[in-house]
Amino acid sequence: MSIPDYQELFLRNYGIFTQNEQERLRSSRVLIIGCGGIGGTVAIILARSGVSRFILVEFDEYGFSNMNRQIACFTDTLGRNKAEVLREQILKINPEAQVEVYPELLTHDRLSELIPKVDMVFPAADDLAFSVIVFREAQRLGVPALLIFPSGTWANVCILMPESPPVEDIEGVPKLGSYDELKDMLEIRKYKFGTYFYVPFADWRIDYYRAFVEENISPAHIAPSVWLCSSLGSLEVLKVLSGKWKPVASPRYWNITTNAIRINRIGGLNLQTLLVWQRKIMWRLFQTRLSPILEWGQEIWWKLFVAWGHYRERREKQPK
Amino acid sequence: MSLPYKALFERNYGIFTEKQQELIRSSTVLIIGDSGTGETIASLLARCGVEHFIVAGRGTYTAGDMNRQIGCFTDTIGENKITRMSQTILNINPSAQVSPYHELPTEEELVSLIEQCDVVIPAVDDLSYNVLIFRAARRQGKPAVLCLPSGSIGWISVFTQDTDTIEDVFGVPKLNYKGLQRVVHSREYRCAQYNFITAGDWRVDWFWDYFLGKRPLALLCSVEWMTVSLAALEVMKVITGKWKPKLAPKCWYIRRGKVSSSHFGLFIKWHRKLGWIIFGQGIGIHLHKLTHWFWGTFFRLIRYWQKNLERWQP
Repeated sequence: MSIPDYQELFLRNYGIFTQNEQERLRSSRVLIIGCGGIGGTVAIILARSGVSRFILVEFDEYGFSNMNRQIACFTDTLGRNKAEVLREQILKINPEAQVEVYPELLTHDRLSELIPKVDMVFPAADDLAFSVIVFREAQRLGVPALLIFPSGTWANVCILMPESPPVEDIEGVPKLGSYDELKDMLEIRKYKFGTYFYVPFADWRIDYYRAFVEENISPAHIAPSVWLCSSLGSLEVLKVLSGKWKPVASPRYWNITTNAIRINRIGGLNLQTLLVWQRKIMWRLFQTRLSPILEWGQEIWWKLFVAWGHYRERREKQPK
Repeated sequence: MSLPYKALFERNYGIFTEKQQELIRSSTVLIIGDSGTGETIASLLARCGVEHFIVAGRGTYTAGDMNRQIGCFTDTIGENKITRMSQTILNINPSAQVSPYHELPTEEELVSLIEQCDVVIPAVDDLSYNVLIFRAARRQGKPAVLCLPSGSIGWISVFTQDTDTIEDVFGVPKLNYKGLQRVVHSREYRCAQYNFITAGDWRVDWFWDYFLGKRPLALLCSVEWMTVSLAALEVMKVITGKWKPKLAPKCWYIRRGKVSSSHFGLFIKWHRKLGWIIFGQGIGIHLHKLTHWFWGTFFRLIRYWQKNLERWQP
């Protein structure tokens, strides 16, 4: 059987995109760092939209717990490298695609080497500290980047253009210099409390969240929410690459919950602004001599928070 | 091969309680249709932990499905979609049970299929058949989830016995299947889909060919999958009762690359209803000359507008 050509495969795209726009997609190259829930789904959606060149970075293999959301995780791909499996799928979608796979962790030098070669960078590893470094590097080198931060049923999505306000302003991460500093900070318990909104906004169960903070278990995700933010994210990428629509770029960003999807603005009138300021102020306060008292206060707050979480869950309507 | 359910869906328990996950596991979902949406939603629901599926439809993969259908690959072109869909579900969760039907059910069969399920997802390419499914689901008191992408538009909403009907929100005339089919395939009805251009960003030339029946619907993977993910989220809401679903006339609405929580528009509804009253019967036939003139002008205008728009691009 002869393999259909590009125009035939992506025929229905031409109802939306002009020949020129589709050609732009075809010649674009995308770097995806981390091919798990969001990374893998974005890669496949972009491939099905006609983007033809990919660089995929992922050292991990598919495991049981990936099954609930990761697009290429099947019983027959368990134990295989995620990027390799995705490459196979992409080539079966678009035989003319070029997919480079790096089954390893990227060093900083390698990163600076790869980023200038691409039209879009997507840091999708579940290591926030590393993502922040990638965003900085992309902005420094003048390459647009896609930001997707999902957690439970909540997510933030936007494009970071080279001249946009940085990721730190959207999420309220302190502007620390090195990866190690960032990584250390994000893993300390008192800073982990900064994610307390996972319970009210992202619908995490309180016991799970407690184990997340205290025992470092993996974050909660469900497939519809992960795929929702991935498809919205890939639409934003298509906007930038094709030039057809204006992307939602920082300082604007998508805020997704189960009940509403809105465009927020950094510093605008919304709950996330409150959260960002809270994180910024707390970070400053923890640097002062007040730190021990604050930590003591935080322990009491944590107990109250958990009790409130349990109360809230009990009140929730239980299925019969 | 059987894999431990808890290990596969471990991360779900961060959101759902044991009871809720058990509900998801024991629910039966009926997916009727061979369009891209049905297949993607089946795969998503399997990843949510649903274990009972009834899937019905016909059709095989063609090259044109590549731009959005989750099971379409160069080595599956020509394969039967329903067979492939069942395999995918089992490949995600080997203990799932799938009952495949390789034909669209007749009206009587529809009744018995709907009886067996908890949620209905009509995902047929043919709108008139979808309306039929919505009607049957409503009669039998089963919730039905609308998942309708086209170009860069998408609608997602949940219909139950207490909400508006699908005919209400889209201004579809209350006819039987044959009558509906005639209306839906008429040129006048296709003209009433001009929002494909204004809200869905279709190119005018494509729409013109679609109008003449020479081209299929224009679709984009990211929009279609966004529609599907929202629909799967609504299915989760309906099954678990954890959140309040978007009941009609509320809906999720995707338009020109933006998505929001919205309501079905009154304009489209009344405009179509009025159109049906005027052009649908008797005397209306003679008015068609007038409409031809109207659409001619409309298309010229839009073409002019789009040409100007393209000139602005880099």
